Amino acid sequence: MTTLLEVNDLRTQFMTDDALVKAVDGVSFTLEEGKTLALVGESGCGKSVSALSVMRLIPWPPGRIVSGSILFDGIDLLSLKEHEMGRIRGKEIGMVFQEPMTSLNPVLTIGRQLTEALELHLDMSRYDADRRAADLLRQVGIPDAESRLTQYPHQFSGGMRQRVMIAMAISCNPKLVIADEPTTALDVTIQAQVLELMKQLTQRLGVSLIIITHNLGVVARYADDVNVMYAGKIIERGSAAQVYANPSHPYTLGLLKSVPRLDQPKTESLDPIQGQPPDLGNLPPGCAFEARCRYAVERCATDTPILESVGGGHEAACWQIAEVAAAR
Amino acid sequence: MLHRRGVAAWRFTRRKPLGALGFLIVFITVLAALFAPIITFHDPLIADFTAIKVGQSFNHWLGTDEFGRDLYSRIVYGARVSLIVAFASIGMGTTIGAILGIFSAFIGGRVDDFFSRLTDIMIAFPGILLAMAFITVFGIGLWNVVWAIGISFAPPALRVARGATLSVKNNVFVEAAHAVGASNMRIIFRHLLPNVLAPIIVVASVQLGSAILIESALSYLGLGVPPPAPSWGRMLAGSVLVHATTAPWLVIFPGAAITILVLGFNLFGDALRDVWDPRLRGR
Repeated sequence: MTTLLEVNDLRTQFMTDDALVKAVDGVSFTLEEGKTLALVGESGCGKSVSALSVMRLIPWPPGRIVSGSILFDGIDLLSLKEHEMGRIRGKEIGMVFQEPMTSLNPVLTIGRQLTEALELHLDMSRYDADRRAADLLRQVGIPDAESRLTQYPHQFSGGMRQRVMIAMAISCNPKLVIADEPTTALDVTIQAQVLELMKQLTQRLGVSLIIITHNLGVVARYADDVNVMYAGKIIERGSAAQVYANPSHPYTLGLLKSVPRLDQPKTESLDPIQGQPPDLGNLPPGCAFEARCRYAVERCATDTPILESVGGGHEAACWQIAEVAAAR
Repeated sequence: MLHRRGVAAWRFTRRKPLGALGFLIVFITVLAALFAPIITFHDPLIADFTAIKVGQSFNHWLGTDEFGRDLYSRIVYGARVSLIVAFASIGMGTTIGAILGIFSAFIGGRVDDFFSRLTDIMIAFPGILLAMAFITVFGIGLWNVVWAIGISFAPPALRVARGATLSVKNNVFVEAAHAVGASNMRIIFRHLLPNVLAPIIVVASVQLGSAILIESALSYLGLGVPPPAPSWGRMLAGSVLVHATTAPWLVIFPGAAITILVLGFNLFGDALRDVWDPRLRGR
């Protein structure tokens, strides 16, 4: 098993008028070839910014990757020039965005958009690119591919557009696909289909996948490894099974408890996490989750916990790991 | 394809009869200008001193002017000047304005500030004043008129293109285009331009009418296309006013030609503005 992506101590910050927002604050993770990694967390925890940093798509101003390294297939992406990065984007790393309704250009046909990466990276002729595009549409389960190519995005439903986005992402046989909340904007029934399709395609093509999501059900079913993020940091990581069976950070535990379960008695009420996520421009010292944490002790307000092993590659950043384990 | 175009044209006529009328006026004028030698029977430049200021007749449909030149021929040939000036100046002005506007909005920051303020300054002057200043500096002549009008019409196109670009450049599809490895140039020309084309074309078509008016005004002031080339504006200028009381058709017909063509462009442009929405295309 070889490592495809290695992110080390990544820090991405945004300069706003009022504050310096540390959206990603010292994130490290690795992704093995052919594996699926989930980045989990609530809105604004830095999971999308992490992914955009890997693609070097952080808009400057106001955003900037200030330190860290991103090794992709042995190449340090942060040291590449912009035009060299242009050859990685779309060719080596494909990306699926959250909003299928706006991530396609409304005035270009599906065919032209699908063939874009092919023309850019594989130097295909128009004819070959069109045939490949039709083939891609069939692969993502869109019937009547040839005639669909000449249609515009408004003639596609949300789920179909997301399939088109997936086809675009895999068009150049990338090594890695990053899916930023690929199903958030879709109907529940369509969500399952799209995820199933992504799983199937990545397995068949041997592509590694990073799924960014706040949906724990997605993680359980489709991810090999899970990184839980909170306030720009990874606060728990492990295999999906480990994190589900033994959530070791109070935040992860809270997330799992705030999802209704079918085997839970109807009389039992949900146990949501109290409070709001902290302001990333003005983080308190110590653990960022301290204010919302029911296990917090004095030390949590002053010292920032670091990731510590809880066994078998499973790590959590919390001073109260033992108490959380006892309460589980 | 042809059939679909026909259907589209029919629907446009049904929905916007005035727009279709405008298009018809422009279309007929273009045909008349193209086939001027075939549909006229007199040379517009040759004076016939035996027929000075004669009224409408079978030989001279619209009468003759104070030099005995056939007014009908002069108006038909004058359409050439008006149309060339209108299309060339607006084509040039909107192209320059639109490209600068898209770049300005896409780059943002100082560049955008610079072009926006420049636009503000230029828009503060009436177009005719800018055109007159330009001609005073560079002299009269057909292409100088084209440049003068084109430059004075670039700022509105720049504004429209800039606004349209600002509204689409933050869409996810621009980010998605970056994510497949497209360069900034490719994103501008392949992804942004088609999105901002519709409002730009509408602005251009509405401005065509104004361009004809300005060309006429410049010619009237003696700053337009130099004589003896027949120009609608010049036909209304100078000593003609002396003759207007005895031969009113000398001012009525060129004036009507200007009014009708400007009306045609405006009707068509307005209808285009109402109808044009890329999401409705192909339905």
